Amino acid sequence: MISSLDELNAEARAALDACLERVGHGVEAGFREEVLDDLRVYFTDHLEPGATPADVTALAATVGEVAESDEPSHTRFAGVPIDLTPPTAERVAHTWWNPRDERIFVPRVFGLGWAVNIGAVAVKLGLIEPDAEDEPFESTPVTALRRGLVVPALLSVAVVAHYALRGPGLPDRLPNQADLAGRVGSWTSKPVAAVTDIAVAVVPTAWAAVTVGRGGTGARAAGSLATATGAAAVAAGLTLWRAAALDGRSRPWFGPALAGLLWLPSGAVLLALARAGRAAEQRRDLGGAR
Amino acid sequence: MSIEQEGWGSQLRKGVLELAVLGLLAREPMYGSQLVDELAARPELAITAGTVYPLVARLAKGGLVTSTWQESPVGPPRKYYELTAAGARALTAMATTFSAVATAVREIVEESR
Repeated sequence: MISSLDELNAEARAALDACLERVGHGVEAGFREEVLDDLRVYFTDHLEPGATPADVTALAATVGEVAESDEPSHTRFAGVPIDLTPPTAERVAHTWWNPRDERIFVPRVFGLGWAVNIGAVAVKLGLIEPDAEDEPFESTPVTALRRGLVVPALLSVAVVAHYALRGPGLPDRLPNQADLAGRVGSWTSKPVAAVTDIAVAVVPTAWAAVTVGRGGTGARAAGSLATATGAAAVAAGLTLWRAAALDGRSRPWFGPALAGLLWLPSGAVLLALARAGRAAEQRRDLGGAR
Repeated sequence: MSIEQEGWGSQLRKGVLELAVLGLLAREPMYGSQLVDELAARPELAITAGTVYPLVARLAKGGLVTSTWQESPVGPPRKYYELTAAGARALTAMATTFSAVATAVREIVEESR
């Protein structure tokens, strides 16, 4: 403990000032001075006179993380979380795969409502440890990411092949939406249906392929693969339903099945990537023993 | 216990949890569920795995602990957490602050009785 920040040497003081400035930028102006004063007291309590810049940075990292984790930043609308920040692949990965967090339902990456924390589900099912990776997907090898790309790619090929091979034999209008009972609620033209399904499958898959192909790794690559897999699976499910629903029968399982198609294949891909990351960490630490 | 008191207790526990984890790891390196069990054995701390794992990750990011996979004699490998030199220094500083605060508060509370 020190009695004043002036006891720090010049390098440590400079590191501290840089940290405080960084934190200050993220705090609302009305509270900034109050927060910074609290932080100065905290650093005074926790730093020793001989503290190095590395000690300051290490302490600052802990403080920042604690502050972030204390209260979620999500705005709520009638008790439901809402986030209108533009989504990124990293945020998708961190939201859908956070095995250290026990909550299964977490605020969505974008929009109103909740998403499934597949990492928490995997931990509860005993498929992986909460701390299997130091940082999710940071150790996942590029080969595993490329293998993960096979799933959305195959689904996309299946959708394209369906419209290429079976398309000519399908009627001019195809089912577009289902009502709550699973009956066809509205119809659309065949070209619109085909372009929609193919675009929903192929565009995210192409984006994931570019991300992984350009050497993207970590949460960014994993998030793009999970998004592509979910989108391609939903597109494949929608394609099959459009063909099957032509018989006019009610299919009440359609809605839940579509939700399952979004989460199950994406979850399987994220789990495989996380397990590959765990295996890589074990090879790093245990060497030839694994 | 009133809602206010429960909230206060929760805040207090949250404040000392970091110190408790660093203190346990100063004794010996521990794997995640071992750390959770050690803390859960102290009901006054009311700690769950959902609190411990994110905290340990933050401590590791801050350079206060490191983690390494090690073979286990009774099953698959386990990830062990160990205090770093910066973690040991942080523990000393935090323990000093904690003792000083606890002493001051105890004196005030005893005087008020």
